[in-house]
Amino acid sequence: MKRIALLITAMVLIMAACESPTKDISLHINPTFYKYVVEIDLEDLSAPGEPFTGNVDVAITGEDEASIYGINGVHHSSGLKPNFGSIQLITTLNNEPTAGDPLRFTVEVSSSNNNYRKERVSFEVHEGEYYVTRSISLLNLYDLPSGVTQTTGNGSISNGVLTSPLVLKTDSTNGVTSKMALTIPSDINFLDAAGNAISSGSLDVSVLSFSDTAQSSQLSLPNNSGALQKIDFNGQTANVLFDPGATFEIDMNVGGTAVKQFSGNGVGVSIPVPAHMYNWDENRAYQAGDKVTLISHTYGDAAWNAEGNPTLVMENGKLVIKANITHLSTYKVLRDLNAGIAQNATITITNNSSKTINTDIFVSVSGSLQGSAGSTFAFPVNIATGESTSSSFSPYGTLSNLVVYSRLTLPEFDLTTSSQNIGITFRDPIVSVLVGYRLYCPSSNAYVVPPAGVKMFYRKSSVGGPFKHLFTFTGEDVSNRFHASPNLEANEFYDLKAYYGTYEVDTAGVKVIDRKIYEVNLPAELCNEIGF
Amino acid sequence: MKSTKQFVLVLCLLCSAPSMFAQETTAEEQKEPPHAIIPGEKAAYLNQGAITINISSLGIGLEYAHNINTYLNGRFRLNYFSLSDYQTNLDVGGNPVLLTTNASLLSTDLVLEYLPFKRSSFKLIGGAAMFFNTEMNSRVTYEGSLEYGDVSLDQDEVGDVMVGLDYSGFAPYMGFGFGRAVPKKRVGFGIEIGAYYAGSPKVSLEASKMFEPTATEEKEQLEENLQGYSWLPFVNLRLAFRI
Repeated sequence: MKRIALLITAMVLIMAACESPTKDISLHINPTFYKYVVEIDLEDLSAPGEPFTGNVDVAITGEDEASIYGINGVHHSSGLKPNFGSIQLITTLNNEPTAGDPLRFTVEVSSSNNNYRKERVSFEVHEGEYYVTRSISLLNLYDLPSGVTQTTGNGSISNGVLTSPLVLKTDSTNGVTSKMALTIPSDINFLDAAGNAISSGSLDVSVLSFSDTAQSSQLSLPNNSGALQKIDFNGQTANVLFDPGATFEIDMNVGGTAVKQFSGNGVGVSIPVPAHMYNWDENRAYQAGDKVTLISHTYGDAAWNAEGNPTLVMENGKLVIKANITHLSTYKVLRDLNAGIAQNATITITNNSSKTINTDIFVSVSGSLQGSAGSTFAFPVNIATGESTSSSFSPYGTLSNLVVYSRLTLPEFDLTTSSQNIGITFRDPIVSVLVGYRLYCPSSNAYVVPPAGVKMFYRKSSVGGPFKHLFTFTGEDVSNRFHASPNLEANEFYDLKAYYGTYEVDTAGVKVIDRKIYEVNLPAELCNEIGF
Repeated sequence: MKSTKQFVLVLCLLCSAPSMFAQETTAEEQKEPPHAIIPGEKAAYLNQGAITINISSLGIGLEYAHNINTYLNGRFRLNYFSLSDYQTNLDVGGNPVLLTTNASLLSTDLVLEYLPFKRSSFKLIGGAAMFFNTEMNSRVTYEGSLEYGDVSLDQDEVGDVMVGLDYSGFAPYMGFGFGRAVPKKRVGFGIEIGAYYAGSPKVSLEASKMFEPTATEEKEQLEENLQGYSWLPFVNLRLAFRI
């Protein structure tokens, strides 16, 4: 029996030498349950460059709104709030856009306590456009930026009309903020959105006047495109870089009900011709008898519409534009568009980088535009690798001293300018290090590839200061192990910060080594949220 | 003296069973004649054959055995095993997981068994097997749906992990047991425990959808872990019919 025991012992020892087959084995998760991310970067025009911290509500409308979820997988109808200054939206696998069937929806940002003017941006996300970013500039009505002033007035309503005419005069600031006088007669009715007269209550009037040259003022113009706006005129849509001219937005309500229209001849406006408005078609100062074009923009429209061509008159020694308005909108005085809208400037964009670029690009022109100290405008770019696109617009003057930037990250680019042409060529950066990142959920021993929408920020440990954007993971490159990090230097120590949804994960003092994969431990709550 | 010799014999058999049989047989033959007669036994099984049905960890098997002498039997065996979609629910890190296993095995082995004791059916066994299509595949799927906010993901969207082991090839065998391959009586019962040295299995690791990176990241580790799985344990219950 001793020999048998010896034999059995030998076999047991052999068997015991085996490792557990799952020893040191981890799950590696690629969260491909969404690939498409739409990101809307918010900026408070009163605090440019600062992370947006305002309390705003986000609403999604449009034909595909049912397919839109927040980055945390919660349907938008449950309420969306920005995280770290931006709104990130996703869609599910079975709702992804397909060829010929893009996702169409509109994002509207508003404020329940009315401290931000509501803004909206519409999206059409096509198949393969995994990461689309747009920017919304919000006008803080409780803390107006420089270049925007607000004038308010009120009057009593009886039997649907003012008890006496109301005259509201806006002031100008340093000669750049639009000045106007609004005369509301006592014989008109105030109509709501349905065209019904509002019979009683107090009339509250608000007029926002905008500077022609202040950047924040220009960026508060409709459709988040700054001074570059679309105008429908004589059946055509033209891109026009606004030249100097009065710009103002009129709002009224009676007893809290928004006024949209007026009966009769409407409301009279008298707009002094700004000193810096110049008749470039005649190459002289404006004079009585010249014509201008009054255009208006209604919230939600893609383009401005012409309201008429008032003739300049001399009144009390001042040259003024007199017109009647019958609806409440944003108004602007432009040169007489009947003289023609030449689309003689072009922006040509070439994408020689390895990534699709689908974002808003901002251009700031500080050079001498005719009659203006500068313009800032923005336009959306959606251009695949290897493609080139160009668009034309009507400028006034020479486009010089350009600065091109984006609120979100852009690849490196080369900029060329001639008098009225801008060339932007994106290219991949010269990469010094390639690094990878993976997220770790200790509770399930699972490594998670950073999902699309995760944003990484960095700063040099020895320098400190604010973090800078390093990388945003997209559905386009989520399967890549390494990512080019041109802003990092090998063998230097950095503090890293990752944003995902409402979560912020900090990792300090990371030594950058080429082709190293860095692990970021995720909090248990976040692991639970993403299912691990 | 006899005890020491037999102890050495056992150790040597573990190292090299086939070659040792010859040596051991020679040694035993010096002490006792190979056909030591126990009354009533010789006529029963010496130089006889047997057909055996096996139920073992390698499945079911059919065997032909032939008695060579009092101490030695030769056996040729065919084993077959198949497992189809065997499912087990597991909990991995708090996540419900469904393990679905498919396995197949077809093997033949040729062994000699040595019975060192005249009055006992204890035996030592050595030989070799050839494994054909000896594969095991386990598919790991996330059981139920995975919830991400209001988004519900079913198994097809989550994906799976497939682990495959392939032991096909030549495998030496050794073991021990009780019960003669050719029974004394017409019918005999036996039990056998041993192990095949099949070498490290060929490992395949595939993953899909959300688990896709697991395949590339963990294949090396899995191969390393399974390097020690060179020995295939073998437990066999035998029912032999002398012919």
